[in-house]
Parts: sequence; C-alpha cells; structure tokens
Amino acid sequence: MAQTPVTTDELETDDMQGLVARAYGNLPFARYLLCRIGDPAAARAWLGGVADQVFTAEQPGGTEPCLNLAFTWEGLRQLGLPESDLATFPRPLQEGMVTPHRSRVLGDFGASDPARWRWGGLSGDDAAIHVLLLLFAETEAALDQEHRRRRAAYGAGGALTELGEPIEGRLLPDAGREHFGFADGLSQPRITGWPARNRHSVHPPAPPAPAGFDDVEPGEVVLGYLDNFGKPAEGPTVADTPAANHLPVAPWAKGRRDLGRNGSFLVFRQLAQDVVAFRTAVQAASDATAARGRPLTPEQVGAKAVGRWASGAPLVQFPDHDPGEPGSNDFGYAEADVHGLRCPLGAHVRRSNPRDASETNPSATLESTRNHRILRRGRPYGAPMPEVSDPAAARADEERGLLFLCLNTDIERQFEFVQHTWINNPFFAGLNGEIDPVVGAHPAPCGPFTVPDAPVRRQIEGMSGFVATRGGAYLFLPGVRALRYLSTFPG
Amino acid sequence: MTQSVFSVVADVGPGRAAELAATLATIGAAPTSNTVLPFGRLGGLHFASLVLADGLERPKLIFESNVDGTVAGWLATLAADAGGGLDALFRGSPGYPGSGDPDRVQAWLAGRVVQPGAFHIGATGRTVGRIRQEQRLHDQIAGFLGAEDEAGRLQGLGQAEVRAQVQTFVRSEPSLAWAGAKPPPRESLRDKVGHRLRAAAVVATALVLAPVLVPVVAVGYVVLRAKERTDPVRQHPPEPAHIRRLEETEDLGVFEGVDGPRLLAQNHLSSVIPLKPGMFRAALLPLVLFVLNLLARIVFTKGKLGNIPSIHFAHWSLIDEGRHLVFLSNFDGSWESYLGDFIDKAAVGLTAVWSNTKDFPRTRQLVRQGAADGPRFRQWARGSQCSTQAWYSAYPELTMTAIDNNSAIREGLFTRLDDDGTETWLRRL
Repeated sequence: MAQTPVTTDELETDDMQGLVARAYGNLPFARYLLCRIGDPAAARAWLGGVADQVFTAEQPGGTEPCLNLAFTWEGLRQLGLPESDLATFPRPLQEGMVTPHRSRVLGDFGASDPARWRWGGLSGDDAAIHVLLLLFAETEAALDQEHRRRRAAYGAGGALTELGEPIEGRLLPDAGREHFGFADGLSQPRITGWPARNRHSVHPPAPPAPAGFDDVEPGEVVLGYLDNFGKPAEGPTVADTPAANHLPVAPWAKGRRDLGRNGSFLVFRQLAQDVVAFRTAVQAASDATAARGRPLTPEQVGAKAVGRWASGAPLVQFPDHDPGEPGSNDFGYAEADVHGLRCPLGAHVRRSNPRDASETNPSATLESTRNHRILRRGRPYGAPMPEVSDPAAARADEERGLLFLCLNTDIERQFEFVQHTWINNPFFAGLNGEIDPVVGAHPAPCGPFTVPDAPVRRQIEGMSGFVATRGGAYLFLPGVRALRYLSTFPG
Repeated sequence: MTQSVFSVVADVGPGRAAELAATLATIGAAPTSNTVLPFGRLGGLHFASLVLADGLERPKLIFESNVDGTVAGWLATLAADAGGGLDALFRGSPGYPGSGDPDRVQAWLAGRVVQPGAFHIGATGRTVGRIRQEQRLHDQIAGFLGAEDEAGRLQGLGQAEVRAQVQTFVRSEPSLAWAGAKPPPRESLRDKVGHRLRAAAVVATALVLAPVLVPVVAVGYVVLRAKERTDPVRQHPPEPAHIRRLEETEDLGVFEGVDGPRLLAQNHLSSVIPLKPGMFRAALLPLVLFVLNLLARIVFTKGKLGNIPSIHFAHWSLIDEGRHLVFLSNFDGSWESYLGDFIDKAAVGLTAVWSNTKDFPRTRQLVRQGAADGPRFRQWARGSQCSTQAWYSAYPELTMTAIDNNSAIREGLFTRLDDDGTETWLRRL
C-alpha cells in the first residue's frame, strides 16, 4: 500500500502549477484554449500523459513553452468525477459565473449581460466549457508549434475539442501596461513563506513592503494550507479509495482525501476595454475642469480615476506629477491621505485594495483587507490602440481588453467580494452613489466620480461604461498529484 | 424621539399557508405602494418585514416593525389605517377579531408583541421625517455647488467663502427654511441618563449579590465548558437550493422608484433558529441578550454596533416560548460584506448570542472561536437564515454612513466652526 502523504506547512511548489507562482511575463505570447471533453476515457488517457508535463511552480522560468490546465465543475463531471465528490466543490464552482445573483454582484448586465457573452455565458449546454488549456511561449511561432503539438495529443481519440477560436493574450509593447495606458498588476498579495526566487511577474520586482502590508497566508491562494483565519483552505475532497492514496488526507473531512491540495480556484474573465471612450471621457472631463477655472490635465484626470499615474506611481506618493516609474508599492492611505485629497476615495486602485484606509482604525482595516485579496495572473488581448486622429475610425478597429485571471481559494470571500463590496459598491468608503470610474458597473443610475479637493470636492461626470465582460468562467486549477488522480480514477 | 423596535408574532391560521404566501408575495413585490399593505402610506415607519417562519411546530408570521414613537402608537396607526392589510395577514389566526373593530385589533396585536432581547438602532433618535429632510438638504446643497462650479464661481475661493455661500444659499431657499432652526439632539438627555442609571443599577446589584453570583457563575462556567466540548456542530454546508432561494432577493442594488430605477443601498436578513436543548442555554441566552442590550444603549449609540457601521435596525428576540431565536437586520451592502464584518469586527458578541443555538460552530469560553471561524460561521449563518417574504425601507437609497453624514451637515450648518471644523464640514458636502 502506498504511503499516506503527510500534510505539512511546507509549500510543495513542485506539486503546484506554475500559474500559482508566476504570470509568465517572461513569455509574451499566451493562448487560452477553451475545450470540451468529447470522449471521457480518451480525455483521462490524455490527462494521464500530460499531467507530468504541466509547468510547475518549482521550475525556474525559461524560454521554453509552458502548459497549465484548469477544469470547470462541469468538465470534472464529464471526466467522470462522481457526484459525491463533485458536491464537495464550493458553490461558485458548482453554479458557475452566470447565475442571476452572481451577475448582479459582478456587474454583468447590459453590455456585459451573459446572454451576449462570446464564451462561458448562457448559450446552453453545447457551449459549456470543460477544460481550459493555458499555453505560454516566447514567440508566436513557438506558441503555434506548441499548440499543434498539444492538439495532436488531445485531438487523438476525441479527448478534447476546441470551442471556438483560441483566446490570444499579448503583452503590450510597453510591457506591464494595459490598454488604457496604465501600468497594471503592481499590487499583489505576497504568500507568506513563498521562496523569493519564485516571485516572477511581468514587472521588475517591487521593493519589498514591510511585513503585513501585502502578506497573506498561503491558504488564501493555495488550497489545503492555512488561510488568514488559521484554518486549512478547504477545497474539494474525494473518497478514500486506493486510487486516492497519493492524495493527502483532508483533515477537515473524515475518510476523505484532499483533491484541492496545491490547487487553486481560477477566475477567468474576458473584459473588453473601450479605449476611445475612456480617452474621450478623460479629455472631456479635463475640458470641463478648465472651463470651471479649476483645471486638471487629461493625465491628471486619468490618474485620479486610476489612483496611479500611467507609470504606476501611486498618487499617495506622487500627488502632483508622474515620476515616470512605478515607485514603491509600500504605501497606505490612513496616514498620508485618509480623506483622499491625493488619491480619491473612489479611485480604481483604492477600491481594488483599500489597504489601511480608515480614519479610526487603520490596522484593523488592513487586517480585514487582507482577507479579500486575489492573486492576479491576467494579461492584455488585442492589438495596441493605434494612434489615429479620427476616433470613429479607431472604434471600428478590432476589440481589445484585458484577460482577467486571478487565483483565490474562496471565490465569494475574495474575488466576488472585491467586485461587489469594493469595485461596484456605490457607497464604498462613505461615497454617495458612485462606482469605480474605470471598470465599475451598476444597474441603477449612479452619480459622478468624486474627487476630494480644497476648498470643496470636484465631481467628474461621464466616467463609466468603459469595460464590458465578453466571457468568463470559474475553474479549478488542480495540483499535479490531483491532475494525475483525475486521470486514473475509474470511469 | 423615542423609537421602537419589535415584532408581532402570530400563529398562521390553519390551512392558510399558501394563501398567506401569495399575499406576502404581493406585498413584497411593491412594499411601498401595494394594495394590500402599502407601507409607504404609514407615517413613522423606518423598516418593516414579513417573515413566514414555517420551520416551527406551528408556522408563525413574524411582522417586524422599526418605528418612531411607541409600540402602542404604532399599533394604533396600523389598526386605524391598515385594517385591510392586517386582515389579509392575520385572518384565521387564533382570536383575530377582524378590522371592523380597530380597538380590538389593536389589543389583539398588543397581545402578540414580542419585545427584542437586544436591539440596535443606527440612526439613534432621528425620525423618518428628519432623515429624509436632511437628505434633501444634502442634495440641494450638492446641486447648488454643482451649478456654482459649472459657472466657474468656485475658482479662487477659500473654504470659509464656500461655506458662507452655502449658508447664504440655504437661508435664501424657502424649502430649506427648517434648516435654520436648531436641530434636536440625536439622543435625549433623559434616555442618555436613564440608560446609564440602569447600567449602574445592574452593576451595583451584581456587586451586592456577588457572594451568591460568584459560585453560580463558577458552576455555570464548568457546565458551559463541558457543553462546548460536546455540543454538536454543523457538519454539512446548507443545500445549494436553499441559498439560491435566499439570493433571489439579496443584493438587488436597484429598486423601481416613481421615476425609474434607483439605487438600493440596503439588504435585509432574517434568521430563525432553535436553541440548543436544555435549561442551561434557555437561561444563559436571555442573560447574554440583556447584557448586550445594555451595551447597545450606552456604547453603541453613535451609529456603529461593535465596529460595524452599516446597521440601521437589528434585533434579536425569543419566540415560540423561548425555543427559537429570531434575528432581523436591516443593513447596508451585501450579505457577504455583512458576514465579513460579523467575522472581522463583532465575532465576540455574536458568538456569545448564537453559540446558544443549534449547530453553531465550536466555541470556547462562550465568546471565543465560533463566529471567528469564518467559513463555518458563514455556512451556519446561511443554514439558519430564512427568506424575507416582504421588506420595506423608508429610505432605500441611504446608507447609515450617509444618514450620519447628512445629520452632521445639518448640525454644523450654522454653528461657529474654526478652520479645521470648516474643512471637515466642507468634506461632508
């Protein structure tokens, strides 16, 4: 009988997929393949072959192409996972992203209505996604080659069929920026105890923040480890059969094995960005402030909306001008800017991560913020916005936006919380009926974006409707042992 | 101004469950203006809810009221102005006299009033009228400042000048004439002193009785610890279908106003849960509620309960001869953020109360662990929750923070302020 693996607090990076450790910023070309399982037995056979080929969090990032794998709940059912095991997945995985309640709290209505999504929406069972393959490569040619090679394997015996066109992720020429022109992905939770050599991102490493600012316990991002509450992050479990012997026991569920260990839950959303509308609104807002005799440049309006300058430099540290480089991520709001005179209370980065922003109790606020962090792993899609003089011509141009990917272990407490309680909350931080001026959405009419100022606040109209959801899914990103298990359990 | 927080709890008439459910759905679909019980026409009502508690031995209808004035005053209003609605709710309930005789209806309702064991009021002492009036003041000042800014008349002004302009505007605006008068205090001196005297009396009594109490508490503690080790806790997450049903009416974010969709800031939560069996919990829980209520009257009168800034009205009460604990709350933001606040900011108090009810997560020393065990507490909370069939808010667009902010604008409108005070005041506009 195989030896029962012992659960330790040591981070088993060799059992985690690479996406946990890195955004593959060293590999500019990404392809996301949405697949359906054709023949379950063939799919399991394919998975058995590929499980040991996924790039792990242990491996150093090089130039060779990388593969990671994630499954929807429906995909796991297709694969043959029994109902009693499927029932141990958290509700967001079971229900998916497009229940009426989730659409409400995620802001998916109107232009973002799941009925209009390109993928993952409400187009019926035939369009349901089962497996997501994430491919990363250094060049487009290498990516194509890797895709062909992989397809030869999963196409054989009808294991998987691709659903629609692949989704292409591309870093912009100014690496680390998103299409509106701002540096993205600067503020990330840091996993306590994570080996420093694995902290790769698309950015040069930020200077280390003091302990506590961005630190989260491993269980906030990786299943099976202790989370911020000192409890193991409970993922899916399976019956304790001989086939499951190489999975660790699940300490919280008697007679069960931990299928989640070293895995994570992956949120994937395709967010189209209307660059023309954003730039037009920023220019119009700037013009309006000039007409009122209290001028802000378009750069200033954009920075107020984002909370950082285009370079990524935070307004808290650089209230007046863009220093041209990201600066440090080591800042809070309570001491330097509690009333938002530098970085508005409702600015995008302040909503997405309020840090210690509180007049009365910064340390408790920071503690609470730590319970709602997500590890972002996205990148842009679509060509960079061409510099054209005619906005109408530019708008007819191809779609572009952000492939938003993030990892967390409790989708409701982390990703969804950020969406509804921070980003789309009209009353965030005591504001009175306004949403995130860059990515926000709300079904009721909301007021203008408030920019605190002396002697009295400004209100900026027209800052909404720039981002629309075009697709999305909640997925399980298993650990390597779990991938192997999924390939071997009896059909 | 006195405010009253309570419920009327009545047995549902035999065979009436289905008909009542339909009635509640009608009221719930348009709580302000429905034809059965149009809450919007009843003055002095902050929040109301109707909850069908059908998990009990005999199903009960819980009618939550959070009102200005006294219980008797509100019941008189109901009996006089909402007789038809009361008939639709209580027809067939044992002894219900029918709206033909408002006095008897009022007496019947009074006999079914359940006073909360502990309650919280966010907007202490402020009437519905005042809350709405102060929101209009805020909106009109915002409109004035917007127009001034648009006309370029704010450029180059100092803060004292802006404040003076706002004051001039308010004085010149006939619809805001009321704002010139000195605002009434949020909490009357009588209430303030009264609550403190009561607390002092409780402490004094406890001290006097200490020789008796200390051994009782010591024995109680030993019994508690033994029970805490063995009390069953919830093993399974609640049924997904149960949660989906709850979510149907949660986080709507929008309501249909007279002139189109409007922002909805609030949510409602109802929970009905059996106490753990036995005398011990039945004795302990009222005591915990009593202490908590005292704290709520003295410490938590500034809009926050614990450190939670988002609760308008909430109360716990015991029904069904003390066998079930009801929790009804009217709060800002999402369920998820409310539960997050519970876990992050108020775990101690909530654990002290709810650990006396069935299947609560494992606790230590009455107040430790329990609600601090986030995932299990959330599962337990979902399991104990029931659907709110109808819910009314008198000011659905207002958060507790906005209500307090509006009051502060009004209270500081014509007072003498130094530079810092002026800056703070202007920040509220």
